[in-house]
Amino acid sequence: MPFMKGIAPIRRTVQYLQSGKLSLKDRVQVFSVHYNRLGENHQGARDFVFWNLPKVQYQNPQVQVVTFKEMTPTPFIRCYLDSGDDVLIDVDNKSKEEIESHLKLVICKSDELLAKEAIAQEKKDNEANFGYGCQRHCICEMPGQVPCSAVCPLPNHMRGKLRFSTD
Amino acid sequence: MASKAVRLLGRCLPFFPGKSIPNATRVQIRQLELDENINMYFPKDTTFFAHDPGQVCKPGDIVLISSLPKKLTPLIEHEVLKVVYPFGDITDPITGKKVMNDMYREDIEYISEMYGKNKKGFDYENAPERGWQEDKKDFSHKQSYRRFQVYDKEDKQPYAVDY
Repeated sequence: MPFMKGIAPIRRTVQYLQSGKLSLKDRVQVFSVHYNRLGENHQGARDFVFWNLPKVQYQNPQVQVVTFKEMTPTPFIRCYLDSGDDVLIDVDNKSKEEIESHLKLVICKSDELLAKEAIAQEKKDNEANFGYGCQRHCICEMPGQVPCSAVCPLPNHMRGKLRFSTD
Repeated sequence: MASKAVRLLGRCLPFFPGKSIPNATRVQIRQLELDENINMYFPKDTTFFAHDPGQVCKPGDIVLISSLPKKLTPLIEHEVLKVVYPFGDITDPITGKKVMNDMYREDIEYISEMYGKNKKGFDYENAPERGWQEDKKDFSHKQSYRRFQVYDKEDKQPYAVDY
């Protein structure tokens, strides 16, 4: 880990950032967290911001992730959607894990949707192609085609060296 | 296919010292920018002009702005959707009560009653709206200019701004 400076430098590794599980829905445009520096009821929100906020921003680069401190007595998360509505999530006295699991249920893409999107994003070449770099090495692998001549030699009347030989 | 309007949450800044831009407020947006060398996010501020015909925004308010489908003027690309948290007069969205930093106003009032209410203290209930001294004693909303070079002590320039 290069530059192991500061508190918990693990947060500054690419593997850590990529391990974020909160992939916000496309509707979410702004993700704002309100919390205070002091207060036991804000501890969960503080932990969430310390550990998870970089992951959230990394997973959702198009969302504006913003924090507000010392504004209200109780912590909350407010997400502004593109329809004009906002989703208000009360995180008073909740732990970091509770906040994360709640967010995953409420405003994140489900695991099934993420899997579907991953499949759709994969580059799909023409499945009918065969050869180097393709799914099938040779057309002889397909049932119904002429079998591999290394395994099963062609009949003599089809072999050019025997048809056209001058012997 | 029209591109989606981008919504951003920002803080209103005071007027722009220089050319007067009518019906617009300056909004500072704070976004996180990834520093590739240490893989850390740092806040980066950008300033936009947001179309605000009713002049609902005052400096310090937290507002929600949205990008316009077409630029209004070469400078104005966004419009103010709503003032989310007016400066100094924040309503806690969870309870709906008025707050001041980390206390509810009703708690502040209760404590001050217990200690003995200060007659000169700020009265939230009966205080006038923000901006009541504009054009009377508060001229910060008016157009001004950046302070010229001060060559001697007599050159006061009381209406200049330093930023």
